[in-house]
Amino acid sequence: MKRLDRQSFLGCNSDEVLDAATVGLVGLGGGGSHHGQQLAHVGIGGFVLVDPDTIDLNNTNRLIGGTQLDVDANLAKVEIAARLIRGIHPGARVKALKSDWRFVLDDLKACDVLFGAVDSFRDRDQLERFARRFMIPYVDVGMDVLEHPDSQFLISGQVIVSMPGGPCLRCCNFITDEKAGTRGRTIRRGWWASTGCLAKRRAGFHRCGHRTRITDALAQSPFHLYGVRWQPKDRVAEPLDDRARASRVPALSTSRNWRPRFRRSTARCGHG
Amino acid sequence: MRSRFKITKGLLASIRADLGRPHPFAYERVGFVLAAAAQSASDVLVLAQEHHPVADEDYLPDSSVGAMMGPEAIRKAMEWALMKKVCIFHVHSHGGRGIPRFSEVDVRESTRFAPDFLKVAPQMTHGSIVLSDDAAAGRWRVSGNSGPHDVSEFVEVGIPMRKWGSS
Repeated sequence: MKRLDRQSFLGCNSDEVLDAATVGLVGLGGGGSHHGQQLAHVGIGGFVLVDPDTIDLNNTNRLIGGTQLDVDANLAKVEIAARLIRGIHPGARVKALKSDWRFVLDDLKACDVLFGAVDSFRDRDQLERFARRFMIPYVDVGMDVLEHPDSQFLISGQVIVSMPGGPCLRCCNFITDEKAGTRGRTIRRGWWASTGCLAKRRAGFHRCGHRTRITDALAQSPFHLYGVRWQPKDRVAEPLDDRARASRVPALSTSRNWRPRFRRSTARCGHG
Repeated sequence: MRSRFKITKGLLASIRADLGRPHPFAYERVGFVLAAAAQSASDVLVLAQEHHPVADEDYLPDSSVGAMMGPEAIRKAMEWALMKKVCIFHVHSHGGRGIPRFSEVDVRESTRFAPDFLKVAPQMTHGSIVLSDDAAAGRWRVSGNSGPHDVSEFVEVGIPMRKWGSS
């Protein structure tokens, strides 16, 4: 009997495929430590673990594998994750790097998949950009506990797969320039988001009761971003009602066939 | 030196579809893949970005080979290498299944034109890849390095992700 016999439904050679894969885990806290554990359970063979932090007492309520002894020893989170992974999968190739992820890029470039469980939108934005630049599928996972007016708290989170060539975190409106603290740059006919995804292709997540559905911004308007809508010149123009907003948007188009028309958007995804 | 050639599933599918188009007189089609290069901890990474088919008028009638590119096709590829600072990989397909092998003609012809790309963009890697219907093989060169090297690993980035070694 082999350890992975119960997941043979994944394919006749799934053991070899999973063992040959190398996964990068950036952030080994409450989220990332779960990823390490589960990926080791399913038989992933290579791990690049990156986190600059050591465990604190208040991490032990959620950090998988973390113990009071680790807190006393001021152990690095990557060492705790490495110990956990080797305990589950003794043959795993584990590289534990107690460092900011920006200092170990060469190790991350070699990964087949990156999991990001980092704290800030800026880190998420930069990590995703790095992953897409080197054609590495990026899985962003995170959660937060927020105050809610109708109840004491609201727990929410996201799992987003950013596949090279597919929609990015900005397409999902999960990251915006405001959140990430960065600015996109303009090109002739659109807004080039920092990830290199043309804004006219972006899609939005639209909150609808308790469900979230993905809607395509193009279904509502040909071009929509940050409250700016674009229409062909031959359509009937509507009065400009937000000059102040327009002034913050750089001049985009010099094309003879397209003219900008500014209108206040009531929702970020454009379906307000 | 290990090398890893990464290409998205969509781009690879579009290349295969393009190479499958009939040509007025050539037996097969060829093209060029433009790629970026990077270095990881253990590998040279070649990151495929675009595919440029050889234009119909840039083929030469030559019944001794499946397809013969004219000088204009080579000139355009050299211009991309020079102006865009990209890796240039000649691409064609042998069809079939499994990891393909370069034919004697492939090796002979690539030895003639690949070094020219190194002259205009010596900081990049250049070479050629041959596709089958479900895999690929490749050879690449760097400036000042003797002979072509086999691409160690191909990665088809998509869902599912596929990897295979060609050596």
